[in-house]
Amino acid sequence: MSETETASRQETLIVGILREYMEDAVARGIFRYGLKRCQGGDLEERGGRVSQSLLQNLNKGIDIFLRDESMRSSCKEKLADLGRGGHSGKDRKREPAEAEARSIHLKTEDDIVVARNEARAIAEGMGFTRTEQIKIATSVSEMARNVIRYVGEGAISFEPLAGGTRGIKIICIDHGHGIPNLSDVLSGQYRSKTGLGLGILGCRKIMDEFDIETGSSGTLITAVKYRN
Amino acid sequence: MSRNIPIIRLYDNLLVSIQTELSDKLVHELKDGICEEIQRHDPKGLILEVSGVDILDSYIARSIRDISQVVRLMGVKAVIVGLDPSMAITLVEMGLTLTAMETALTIETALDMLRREYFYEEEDEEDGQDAVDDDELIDSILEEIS
Repeated sequence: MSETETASRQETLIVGILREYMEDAVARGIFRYGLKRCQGGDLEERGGRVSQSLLQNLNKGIDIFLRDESMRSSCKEKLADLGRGGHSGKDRKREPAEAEARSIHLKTEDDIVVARNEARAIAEGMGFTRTEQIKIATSVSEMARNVIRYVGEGAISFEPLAGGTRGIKIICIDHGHGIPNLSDVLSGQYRSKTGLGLGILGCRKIMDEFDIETGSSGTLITAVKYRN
Repeated sequence: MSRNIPIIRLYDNLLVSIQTELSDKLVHELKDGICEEIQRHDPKGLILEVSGVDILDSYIARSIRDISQVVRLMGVKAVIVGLDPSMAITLVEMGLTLTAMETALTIETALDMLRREYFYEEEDEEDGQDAVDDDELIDSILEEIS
């Protein structure tokens, strides 16, 4: 995206937020006022980033035009969010939450997609190569799918390894009846009719560490992938 | 998450470019949609373009293989196009073998493959026709001689 596009997108976003609280003309007025007052000229020259000085100047205008205290603070909060994100809201989402641990509740098939996207975004943020990201996301997809298909509900979490080791740990848990023929699955004897018969086994092959505990009260899978 | 994947006619073929995250439900709908379009348009080939697929796990890989087998039964040849290199590496390391599946790197190559295949089939038919003509000719000559 070019700088000009980013700048006009920022303008749309800012004015869009302001317009939730005031008339269109007032919103544009506050925006133009804020832009004029903040140092460094227009948005385009500054690469479209919502700077702190722009935020401060926008807030001055908001203080004048918005009388309701709660509306004022909620409007300022939304704008401050833009400033923290740097770019657009969408780009901000792509940046993983600074490689924090994330846990996803698995309930529907769509959660499988959510889980693997999240895993991939975290892996990307941690500097994993593209192939490693795909391996991690594929493993997550396999594990989450097993939970949905055989148990119906569970959770999967991703966390960066603590300490100096660089890697990601995936923990997948459910409270189903366990995998009855685990040894057959892991030795490649058993082939599921719905997959290619390499779900769990395939996961083990593409992850660096893979541990599975299963019993009548549920299944716990722990898998680790190290960064090369 | 309700989206649909367009099925486009391209010469004598159907082109399906998957540019979205594939949920299991979507895979299922796609399979049905393709079969309906095949019945309606009687194409020669099906090009499944997968460069936009986010992840090919064992279920999705199997579904794509299933689609190619189903359409084969309906007389249509499927070619899988645009598999991402990282995805290909992952699939192989997981132990996947895509036997009985035609693949190509680009849509152009896939079209060439399908065209060539169709061309040969037509040629074979013509050869068959020639053979019959030859038989008739020999018969008529034999009749004349006798």
